[in-house]
Amino acid sequence: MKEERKNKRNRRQEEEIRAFLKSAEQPEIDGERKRQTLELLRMERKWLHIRSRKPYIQRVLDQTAYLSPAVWLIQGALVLILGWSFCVGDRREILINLLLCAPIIGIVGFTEIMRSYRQSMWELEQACRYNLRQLMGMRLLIFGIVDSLVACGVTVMGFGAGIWASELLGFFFIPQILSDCVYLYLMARFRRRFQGITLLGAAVFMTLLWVTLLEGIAYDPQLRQRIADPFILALLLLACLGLLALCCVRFLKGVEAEYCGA
Amino acid sequence: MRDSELIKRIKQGETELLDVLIESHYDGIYRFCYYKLGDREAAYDCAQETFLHLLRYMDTYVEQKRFKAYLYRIAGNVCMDWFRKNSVQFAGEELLETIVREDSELKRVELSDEVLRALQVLSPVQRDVVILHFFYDFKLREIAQITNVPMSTVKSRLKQGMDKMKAYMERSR
Amino acid sequence: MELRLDRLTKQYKQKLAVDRIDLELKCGVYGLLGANGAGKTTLMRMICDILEPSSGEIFCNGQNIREMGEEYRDLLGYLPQNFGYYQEFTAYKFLLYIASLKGLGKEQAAVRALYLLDMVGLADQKKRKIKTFSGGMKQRLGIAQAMLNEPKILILDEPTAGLDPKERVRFRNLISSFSKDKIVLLSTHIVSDVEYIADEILVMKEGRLIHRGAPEVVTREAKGLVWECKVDSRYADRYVEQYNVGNLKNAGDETILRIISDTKPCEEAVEAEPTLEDLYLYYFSEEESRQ
Repeated sequence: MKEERKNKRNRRQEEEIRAFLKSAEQPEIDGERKRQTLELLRMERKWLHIRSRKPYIQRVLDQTAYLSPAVWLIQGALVLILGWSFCVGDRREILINLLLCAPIIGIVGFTEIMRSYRQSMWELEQACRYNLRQLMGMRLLIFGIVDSLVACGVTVMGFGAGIWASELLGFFFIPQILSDCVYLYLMARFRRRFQGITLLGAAVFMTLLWVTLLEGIAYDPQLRQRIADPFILALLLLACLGLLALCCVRFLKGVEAEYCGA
Repeated sequence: MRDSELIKRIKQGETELLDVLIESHYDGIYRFCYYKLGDREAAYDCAQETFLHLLRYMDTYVEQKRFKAYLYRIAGNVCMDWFRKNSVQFAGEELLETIVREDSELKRVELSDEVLRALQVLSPVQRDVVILHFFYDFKLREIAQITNVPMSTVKSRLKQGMDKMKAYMERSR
Repeated sequence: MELRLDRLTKQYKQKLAVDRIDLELKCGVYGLLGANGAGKTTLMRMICDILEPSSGEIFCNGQNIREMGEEYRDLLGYLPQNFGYYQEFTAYKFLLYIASLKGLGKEQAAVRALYLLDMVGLADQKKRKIKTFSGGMKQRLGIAQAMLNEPKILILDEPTAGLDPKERVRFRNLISSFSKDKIVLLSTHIVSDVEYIADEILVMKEGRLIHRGAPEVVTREAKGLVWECKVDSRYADRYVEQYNVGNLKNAGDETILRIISDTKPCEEAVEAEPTLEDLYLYYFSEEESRQ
């Protein structure tokens, strides 16, 4: 009750003061003075220089030029090996080669992405206009596109060599995507202390894991049948892609953790 | 066209739209300076200086839909600099007394009208809050941004300003 | 151009690296003096928006730098204390790379890169790979990259480390000519680097700004604390152990010592005119001896 009365009193006081203040005549503005000021400001405005933003695509293309040539060479070599395998190898050899290459393709790209940390450039890049997080994002995008092109190439070559879609998924795409997720996790975890050897160790581990898994599936006909179902494989693929997206986001957020001095 | 739309186009290179932006805010800024300083000449100078600052900082300004608050903050700082340069002591409590005595004599303050005299009773920071709240209808949150102080400080300055205004209005009745 | 630091603080788990610093910087050269661990690098990282403060704000021309984001970094040039380079890049390619991150167009980047390489005396080395560079050359390249985008705020952390005396003079001239209408903040141990070019000295100790002012004004703090005395060379070591000795010069059987002390160290001691170096030793000799 008291509170209400106090509020009412305050509101009345405010209204009174408002009415009193607004009773003031608006001060007249000398038109000539105003015109002179506006003219002066118009002259000053002509010296203004506003630096516009480079379009994102342009920035990504610029970055591509600075990636290490070794990256393209190694990836090119891997694609050639796979291509040669599709041409000359039998079904079993092709599948083994796909399985072995799947984890390795990721290493090349991610090692390059982590160059900022490996070579202690992160601090300088973080202070630039398009800073470290944007830079990492651009690099991820570039390698994402490149890996997608490789995937298309492998698909075409695979079909050409009579490999089934389910085999391509099981022996190449799913192992590759899951390996990438593991690498991204390691990169986010280690960041500044990251070494290329970490990824190599992870790749070896992943390869052994896939071989073991696939051998296990090969000996269980029921499981093999279920897994070979296109619908199940497609679902697995989508789940892997979702996980990959999540890992990318987590990795980029990890760049911000540097910002907080973590 | 709204401020945020104008600024977006200015940042994309249409710098001639700055003329439009400035003209739309000139009157408000002039009057703000006038009420704050109590002097027409000083108000013209400070208004001009405010917009010169705006131009100078325009290439680094980032639009966040708070342009008006940003502009009035610049005006407030420009007026404070003017106070400092001209070493004006705010009349404050003494003025309250002298008004009653009717033989007040205050240099540099053009007391052309009742309201202006009332405002001169307040300290510069109280005056800011009162002017922004009552003349320009800025919300307390916006005033906090303009004056770069916490909301609680704005509330207490507003209360103190209103109490002094009330006292002035009663004494001069 | 105006930079305002408002109660800027950085607290790590074990340490308070920067303690409520209030600072206003306008155009000119500022020399940031302090021992290792004083918080200089942490402060500079926060100003460059690389490190988030635990509390406090930084305003550039009235706007919070975190709100400004990219536009703020566009005004900055930064040289970190220790950083690697992309070793397989040539000097020229490195500058073009940094220029692309700073948002410069290709033609503009090429022009600026060549101009700056010339300014820092690396024009002849532009096609050489950075891994073949000496420490001094790398440092000069670092200074060049900081200036690519014609920054209005230049932050240099120990920029003269590894430079020989001739290069240091060149660097001083470069900064002096660059600093008109700009804020230049450079941190250093080497007092002579800032003594002649700084408009203002900022002295930092244990995360706090303990002193600021023009070099002459700050130096006056050390008035009455600097003594010169000639002692028998046999006893010079004793003095070095007991007092804060700024300089030691052998003159035959005698040694001339420059001592920084609140009290007269010996009968024969004569009060000397303090230099900025003396002030630095007065504030930081304990830290230095601890290192």
